[in-house]
Amino acid sequence: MSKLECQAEESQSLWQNNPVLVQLLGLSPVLAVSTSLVNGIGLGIATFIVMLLSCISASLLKAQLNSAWRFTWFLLIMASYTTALDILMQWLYFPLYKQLGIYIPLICCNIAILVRMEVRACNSHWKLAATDAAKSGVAYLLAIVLLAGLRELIGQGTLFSDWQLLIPSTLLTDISPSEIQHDQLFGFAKLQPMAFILLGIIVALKNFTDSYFAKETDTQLGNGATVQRARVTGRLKK
Amino acid sequence: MTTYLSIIIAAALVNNVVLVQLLGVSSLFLSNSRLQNTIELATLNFIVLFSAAVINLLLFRFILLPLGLDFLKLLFFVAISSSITKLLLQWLKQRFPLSLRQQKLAFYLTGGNSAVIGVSLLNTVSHLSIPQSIAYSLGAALGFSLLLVAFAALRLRLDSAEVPAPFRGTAIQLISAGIVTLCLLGFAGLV
Repeated sequence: MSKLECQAEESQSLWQNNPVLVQLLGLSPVLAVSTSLVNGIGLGIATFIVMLLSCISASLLKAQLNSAWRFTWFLLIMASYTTALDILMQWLYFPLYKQLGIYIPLICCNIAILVRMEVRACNSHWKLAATDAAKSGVAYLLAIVLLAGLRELIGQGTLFSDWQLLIPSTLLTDISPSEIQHDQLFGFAKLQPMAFILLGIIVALKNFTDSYFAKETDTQLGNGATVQRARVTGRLKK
Repeated sequence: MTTYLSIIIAAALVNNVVLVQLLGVSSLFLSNSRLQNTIELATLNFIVLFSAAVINLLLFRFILLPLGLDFLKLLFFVAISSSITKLLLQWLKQRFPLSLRQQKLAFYLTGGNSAVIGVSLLNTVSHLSIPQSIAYSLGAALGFSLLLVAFAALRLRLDSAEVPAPFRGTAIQLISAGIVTLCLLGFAGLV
């Protein structure tokens, strides 16, 4: 089993084993789309829906899937849901869909979903697979919202601008993105290099806080946890 | 001839698939840190990306578009790219038992690679002619495998560097990827 799957096998928690921040899975949409918070939330929710539905389907169909070609079947399941979602988003959220562009169809080859399906969904009951996928999807959404909010704040100086894009177009008549040019606070934050660097800084901050809290719990436990030593060399008793 | 050359260079360096267009970024960080294995993976990725992009392009232009089935393109693209990967890996397993020991990881990184599907999708919306699109796919595949190998070499250096404790591991890799991207953005205006 590869290191990738060992990491994925561990209990899926939102922060300690985040698919984006720790395992670096499915980075491309996270980095590309996180220029504003609205885009991040839109893509995060879309990924969550596809992850949940395809994990449930893979779990229900696990008896039918050919084991040698199962990756192809997994990708096909994901692609079917993504196609449906793509058409739905064109209908209901066309301005947001135009902003997200190629990254909505690209949900179908998100490696984070593929790993979830392989590790958990294809060998467990569908309820277990659903909760696992939901947890993982929320963790993905959390990471993308964190990065997108930071980039929008630094790049544009706003937070959650153009929020009306998240309302379905059947409810409102005019939901085109606002024409007002925001002052560019630090426009470089919207380019690709800054996406990598900011994500790196977030990961480093996470490492720092984790090690800080680990130290605190260590000192709280004190020296009570003494290790029992066992003699392993020398003559054995008969 | 010069147009084809400039398309290849533009696709490989100026609009690099991985770092500038941000497709298939996970492959950079997840591939094995041994250079030998990464070169094998990069070759596999090159073959799969190029052949899948060409087949998908021809399928889209000659079959799906005339029949009005272009909304199903994603299903066809995924089926073709993952079957090419699977067949290639099976063939490799029979012929070269020692290479690509981590078959499963290789499948994750080529079958689930958004660069393969991404290049095919970009080809469907571009205004280039068919030979020009093939040249674009070749350039994209070249740029992808070039960067995969270069980044593996970079990580070998990072492993032996003295890095502050919170930045060790993935954080410093992400930041150095950002700096490499900054260099690649410098190619803008070359073509």
